[in-house]
Amino acid sequence: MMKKKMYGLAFGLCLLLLWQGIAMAIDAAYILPSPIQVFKHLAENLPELMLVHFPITMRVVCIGTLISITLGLFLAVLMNLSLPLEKAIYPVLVFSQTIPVICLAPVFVLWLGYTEKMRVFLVVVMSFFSITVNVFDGFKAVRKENRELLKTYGGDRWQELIYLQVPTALPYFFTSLKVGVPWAIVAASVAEWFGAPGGLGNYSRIRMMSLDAAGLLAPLVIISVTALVFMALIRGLEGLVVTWMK
Amino acid sequence: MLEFKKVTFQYEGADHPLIENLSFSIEKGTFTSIIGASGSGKSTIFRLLNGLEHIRSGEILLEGKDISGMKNFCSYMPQNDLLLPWSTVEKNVCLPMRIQGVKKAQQKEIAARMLDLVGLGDVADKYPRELSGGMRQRVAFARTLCAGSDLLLLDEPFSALDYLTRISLQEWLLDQWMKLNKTILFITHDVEEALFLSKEIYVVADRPVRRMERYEVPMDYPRTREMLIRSEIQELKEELIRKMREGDERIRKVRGPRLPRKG
Amino acid sequence: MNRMQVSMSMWKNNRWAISTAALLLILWEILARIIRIEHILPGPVSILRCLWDLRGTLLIQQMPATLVAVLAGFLLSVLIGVFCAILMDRSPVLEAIIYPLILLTQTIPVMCITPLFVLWFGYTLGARILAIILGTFFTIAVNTYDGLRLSRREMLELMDTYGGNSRQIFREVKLPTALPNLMTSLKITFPWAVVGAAVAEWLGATRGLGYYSKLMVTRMNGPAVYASVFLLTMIALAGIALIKWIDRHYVVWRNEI
Repeated sequence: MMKKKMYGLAFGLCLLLLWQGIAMAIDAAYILPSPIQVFKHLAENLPELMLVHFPITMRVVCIGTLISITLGLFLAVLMNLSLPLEKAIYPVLVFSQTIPVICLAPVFVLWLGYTEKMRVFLVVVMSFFSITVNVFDGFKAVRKENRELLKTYGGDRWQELIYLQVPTALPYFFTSLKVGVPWAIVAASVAEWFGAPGGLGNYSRIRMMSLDAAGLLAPLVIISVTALVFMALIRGLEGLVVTWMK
Repeated sequence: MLEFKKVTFQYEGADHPLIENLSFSIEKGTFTSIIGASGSGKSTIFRLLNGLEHIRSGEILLEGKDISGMKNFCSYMPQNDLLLPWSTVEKNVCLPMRIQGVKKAQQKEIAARMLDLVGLGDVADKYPRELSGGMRQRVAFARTLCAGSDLLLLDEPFSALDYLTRISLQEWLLDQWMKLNKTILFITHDVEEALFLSKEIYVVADRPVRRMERYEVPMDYPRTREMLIRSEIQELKEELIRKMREGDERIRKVRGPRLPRKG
Repeated sequence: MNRMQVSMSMWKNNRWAISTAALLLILWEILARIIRIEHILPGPVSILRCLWDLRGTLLIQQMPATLVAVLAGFLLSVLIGVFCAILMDRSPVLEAIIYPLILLTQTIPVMCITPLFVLWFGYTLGARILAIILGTFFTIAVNTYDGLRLSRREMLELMDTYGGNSRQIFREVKLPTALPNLMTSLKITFPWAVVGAAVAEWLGATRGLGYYSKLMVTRMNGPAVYASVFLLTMIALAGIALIKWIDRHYVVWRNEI
């Protein structure tokens, strides 16, 4: 894995150099800005980007993710405790994984207008399904022998939940986070394309209208770095939780 | 027909040769078994013959000529039937011919003939998943025949089947061999199977394999299972088991670092 | 199983979900009639009526634009993806080059690059097609590549003993072995192709279901928004259904690899 990552980094660097070369050859900044131009724009506009736009997007991401997690866990536990609920809800959830939920964004704008609420809603809708399904699958993944053993100790439903299902479901939960959080960031940015007072996605769109390709890509750097940081945080959290469980 | 002359072979990365200075010969048209404990090197002999491995020194001669220049002089039948699940039985049987570039019309004709031979002429359009284990091995055998050579290498072809299927396929195989006049080299770990099928039995009982003990089975063809009860056959069976056990001991002692197992 | 039995078993297995869905639809209709705010929450009946009324616009003007983008983009994506997979399988050097590229795209959100494509191609088809390709071909490539590597060693060796060259081995063994994985990846990525087209249309287009739904939001025409979004979803579902059908009928060896 390490080797592959090293390769990736090395190759990424090569790509960067290649990009710089092609950009310099074409020499049309509005078509292909060079990495240097992108970073220049980033550096020049960093205060505005980080102090005005970044918080707008991140607020949506954080609130949305928190709601997603709460809702997702709640539904998963609910389905876990009640078979009829599971049978009613689970297929709907699985079905929702197949339809392209982002396409419903215009409907959300109808409901909530061009507000922050709408963007939070889109983020929630995009990530809570997968959290629910994954955590629920995690609950179900408890081995039959373990469950039977607990029963022989006289354990009841709640104890089964806490001692067996939660630990089993934790890896599933973190996996769903690792998938869901980057998507939350993307969803927040895309939602801004519909209309927002600011935000990294909105910034990209406005720069696009001005044919400013470098400015368009600058927020992307911030978004990518943010996504990486969040992934590292999640992995760290996962590590902590795992050691704490032991 | 087939001769191993002072053949030495070592797997890449191994400390010791697996086969060293081995010499033996097989006559044309015979049914010969090679038996020995697992991992003793039986399959390696096959791999040297079908080109999956190459010898370090020595010669392997077919009718006096070195095999290193030759192609398609032997047909290999592996332990698992390895039938392509996405093709019909007929297409499966035609596989070696497709690769060798045989004309389509001819392929169909030969395939039909071979399938009839193995008694499966009516399943040509079925898929492997619709057949039983025994039938699949028979299809695999038909495919092996379609590879076209006179030397057949059968690598534990019946070991994955249940007992009853296995013994009926043994009887069937003998029947086929007597009709077809091929030279068969047969690997098995089942002593009784070897006794029932072959005229000569080689025991691999050494590491590195420097020589193989040769035994002749005093039974005439055509054979029946009752002939196995004869006392001289039972004595031979005990002798072979004894030799295999000794060989297994010897191999365990010598087997230091694990050789790169190539299946 | 005959048709009747298949339908019966589908009902049996899903009756809770189907009932829930039906119940939700009825509740929705009731709620819509109570609230009576057409431009925000039209009922299912109203949406269907709108679908019918606007069938000219929707089906003849808007949907084909999106459909063309989705189909063209997806097909190209499949071609490029499979091609990359074959390259990676043939040469470890190419694998070492392409695989990290894929890791790279996992960190950069490709959807956010869509504004660049709209900048390049304006409001034309190209932006949508490029967005779709970049969003989907990596998944297809990786899954197909994994499928190619599933071929059993004994099978490849047997082909060797028959004297097969690498092209024959590829055609006879590797490609059929990889097909189930390829079909799975198609099932997963097709909805994303629809998303890619819609998202690109939101940024800039003159026609298309995504563009139309956004336009109708500004006109506060609730039923039209729902109708166009509904059609988009239908395209995604139809595509998946088609892929599943092809998979079921032609790639039946999924469990036997």
